Amino acid sequence: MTGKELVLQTFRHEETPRLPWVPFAGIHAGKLKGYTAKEVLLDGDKLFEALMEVNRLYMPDGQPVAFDLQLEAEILGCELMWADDNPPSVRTHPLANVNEIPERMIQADEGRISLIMEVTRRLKEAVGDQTAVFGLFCGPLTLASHLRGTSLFTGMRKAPDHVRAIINYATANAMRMIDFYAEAGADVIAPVDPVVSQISPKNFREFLSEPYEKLFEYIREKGLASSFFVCGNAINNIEEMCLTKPDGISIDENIPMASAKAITDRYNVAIGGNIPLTTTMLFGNQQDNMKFVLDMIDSVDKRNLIVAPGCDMPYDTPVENAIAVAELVRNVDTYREVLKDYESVENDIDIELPDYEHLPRPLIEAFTLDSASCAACTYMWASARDAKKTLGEAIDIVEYKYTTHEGIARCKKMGVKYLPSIYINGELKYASQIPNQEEFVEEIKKLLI
Amino acid sequence: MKELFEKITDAVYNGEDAEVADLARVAISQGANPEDIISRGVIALEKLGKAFDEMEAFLPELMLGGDAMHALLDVVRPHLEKESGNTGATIVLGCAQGDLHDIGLNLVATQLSVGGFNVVNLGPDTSVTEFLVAAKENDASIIGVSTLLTTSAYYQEELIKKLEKDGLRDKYKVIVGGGPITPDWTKRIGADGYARTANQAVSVCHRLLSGGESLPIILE
Repeated sequence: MTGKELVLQTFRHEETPRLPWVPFAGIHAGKLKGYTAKEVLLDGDKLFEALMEVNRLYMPDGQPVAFDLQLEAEILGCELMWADDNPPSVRTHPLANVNEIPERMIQADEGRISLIMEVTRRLKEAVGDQTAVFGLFCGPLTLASHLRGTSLFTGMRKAPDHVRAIINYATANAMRMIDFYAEAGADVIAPVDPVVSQISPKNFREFLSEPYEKLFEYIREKGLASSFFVCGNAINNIEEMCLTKPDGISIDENIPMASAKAITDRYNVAIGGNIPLTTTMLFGNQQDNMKFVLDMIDSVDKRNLIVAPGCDMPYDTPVENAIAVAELVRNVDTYREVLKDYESVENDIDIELPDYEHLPRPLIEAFTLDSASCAACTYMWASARDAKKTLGEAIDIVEYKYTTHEGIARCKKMGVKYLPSIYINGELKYASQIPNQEEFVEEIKKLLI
Repeated sequence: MKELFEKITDAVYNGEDAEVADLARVAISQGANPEDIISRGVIALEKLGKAFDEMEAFLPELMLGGDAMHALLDVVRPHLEKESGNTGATIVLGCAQGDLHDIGLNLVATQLSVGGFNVVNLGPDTSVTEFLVAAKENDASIIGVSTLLTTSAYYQEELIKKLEKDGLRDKYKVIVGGGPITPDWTKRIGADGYARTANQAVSVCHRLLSGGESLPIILE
């Protein structure tokens, strides 16, 4: 079964042989290829290249093309502020002091829409048989708040008809985005509406139930799967979200997965997300990420569940953290044992490190999760083996797998923080990122002189 | 007067800005102490903040409450005599970029104003650049960045990095606060002060201006 089938089967609420993994690598994709957030959101070739690297390293079952909630807003007149390591943010609100609702609608050739749709087509063609392509667009409430500014919220009491009109306008534009993504080949279409967590269930019913029912019905008519992304503590609105009939819901770290899933299960809606972006993905290590995901999946019924970050991954998320999650979902039982071992192994095995100062020849040590299953680890270990092919008997290479007691103990003794990584003569040379083969061989050759 | 004060608290809590302004005018005309009137608004905002934490109130209610508090301050401020310990110092305050939750910010702004500071409240969703421009334009001594969102906490660190990069770190003291902000985070990003409550923020700012203490100053 392909990853794409896993995702689609989950959205059809069927049992799956394992849990699907959907890393929301938006701007973070750029980091993998050394591009800034701005570069990947403004250059289709760079975005495509970065997404392919996500696919290669993180082995996603599904992946979004972009996680940019400002795309429609920019076309509709919001000025953006760009950053190198964050998505752009909206700086001005064109409807802040205007009471008329505009008639203009977003067009396929406006702003960055054609760029995103072209990359959607390319991604679909390149990996679409294996990976579900997610088309994300800005949800109506968030788009309405981009256009109107903060007075949208006070307007919910002071001018509800006007707020409803702005949201309807945003919904009509959202329908266009659904058309564009469907035409470009997306498998899953998802409105991302972080602001939903900030309103009461009463306001949700009053302003959003009808627009969202319409959006999900429209996606269903196109024969595609849908997901409703929200951020913040939206626990009070999960039930209302379910009632709009999406195939899935994605939540962030502010809601315990078990609490949210208890609700979504009642409505037979799939749910994903929840991996904390900052504390775990950005600042945690591989064990933290594996442990969080393991605890999360152990806390709920596995049907209707997708493993995913809480929201768009931070730009600087260490590569090895997402690799660890990719590896975990494929080998849950193995890593459950590994994590137990991690706590206990230290005193069990006495590891003797090589005498790095007096090695007969350069020693290349590859520390991997397991090169047999982890894609990034496979590439890292392949780099070492290719170097061996080139340099032959002049060097030694060895792989230490984290799935063994000895591997864990050695990682601890060496102070290895990133998996996979390559050490040359006991010194960390490549952490998580696969080395360029020519540079790698040159690096080793320096030691042969 | 007690009944009038209770009405002021209720009206701020319910976000009825016009009613708040009317009630505040009545209270002033009846000789109420301006600071007592403000304290009734503060009680409402604290109650609203608690309701928000308990998910009984949401962003629209918070913002309506904030608007009502502004309406109250607009009426009362001309009658307010700053404390004798007026520092003359200016503090630029705002919510970090991406954060619209300004109820705590408004509380801190009010308390600092009553506590003798000139307060420039930049409100919600303030970018690092906007903080720096306002600090320069107003010749501020302290910049305060609040956030209720972990995703926006990042911008507190960004502000400090930007000050360092621009060679301005010694020119401004930086205080941070907000629901998810902790003393550990304060130390980690190199901020100068942290306070858990609005009242504590006033003390931290006075102590930062006095100098002589090792930083950061943390009150929790």
